[in-house]
Amino acid sequence: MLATVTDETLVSRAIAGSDSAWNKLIKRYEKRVYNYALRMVGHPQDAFDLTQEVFMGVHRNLAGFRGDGAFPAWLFRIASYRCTDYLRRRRNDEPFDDERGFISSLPGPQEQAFTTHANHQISTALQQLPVEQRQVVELKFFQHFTFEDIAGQLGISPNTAKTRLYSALRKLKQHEELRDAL
Amino acid sequence: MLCEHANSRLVEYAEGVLDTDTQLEIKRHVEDCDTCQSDYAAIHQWRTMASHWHEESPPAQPHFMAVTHSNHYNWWDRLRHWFPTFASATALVLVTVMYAQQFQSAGVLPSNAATNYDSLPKLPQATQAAVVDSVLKTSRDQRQAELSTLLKILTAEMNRRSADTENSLRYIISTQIQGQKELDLLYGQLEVLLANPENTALLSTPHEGVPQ
Repeated sequence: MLATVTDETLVSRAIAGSDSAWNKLIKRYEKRVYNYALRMVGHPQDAFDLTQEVFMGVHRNLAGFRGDGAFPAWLFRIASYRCTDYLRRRRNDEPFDDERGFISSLPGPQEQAFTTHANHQISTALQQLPVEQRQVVELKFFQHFTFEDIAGQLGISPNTAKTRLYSALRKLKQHEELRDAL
Repeated sequence: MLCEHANSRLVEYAEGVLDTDTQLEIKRHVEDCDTCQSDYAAIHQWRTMASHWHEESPPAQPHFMAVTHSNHYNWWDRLRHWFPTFASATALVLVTVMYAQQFQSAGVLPSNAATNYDSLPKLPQATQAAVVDSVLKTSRDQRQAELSTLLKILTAEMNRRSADTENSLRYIISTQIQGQKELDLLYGQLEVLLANPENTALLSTPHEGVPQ
């Protein structure tokens, strides 16, 4: 049985100039990052653009990865930062109504963009949440990080991460789309 | 268990990562608490839903795969990564060279030791034995000569000391004999003097004419 090359080894080789190691690293995580982005932004093309931004950010900061923690945690710290920045930029482009607040000019997740109905419903439900709560739900239930990891990635305390998760859950409980998805 | 304690650990309870006793305590609490039951149901629903997510593939042509190091990974990043290793290796080489040079300049390591050794003639075994015997014989003769010389020196020294001692004794004895002879002469003269009556009268009046 062939031993899998560790993330740390691939990172070292990529830093040393190996394009092959860098491509392997991307292959290993591109789907995970793309699906993360898709659930966060709800649109395949935006998710793809965001995925590219994440990997460009990883590439630029690769020398800064000290290997003192798991690579996925470091990767998703960059992904979370890029995602927040992306959504903030998108929100700034949206019109503002004095009574209703920000009005999204973008359409919601389109069902034909997803391979399954469940994916569409999940994405729709997640879009109902503020970005901060959406991130915690994503990192907890889809990426399976601990609250300590999530806190480290978002620059908040573990208790704050937990509070955001419970707030999100109570908000989603009332959402009809969620029932449909189940 | 208090509701707030149980409620804040419902996610870990759903994940089954708590110890057995805590799992059991929270299970009992959830059975009796409507709020925790509702929160637990939501957590369970989201966990189930996440497991139903079907992995989507990114659109074709992932452009970021085409990013090559030559374009985006500049020399500064590589230098920053490899500098500690490079600096350590350079320091090690420098220390080694300085150490070797120190001994060479002190003459401890002959610069052409290997050349001299190689230039030695290859002798047959019998010749080698003869050389060894010759060296040993020379060594034995030389040591014998040295010992003989030393013995002569010691003998001469002993003879010299013996002669000196003998001369000293002879001088002492002769001196004593000489002293005895002088003493005997004085006694003789004294007896002659005492045999004369005039001298006896002179001796009986010591306070007259005899200096004190």
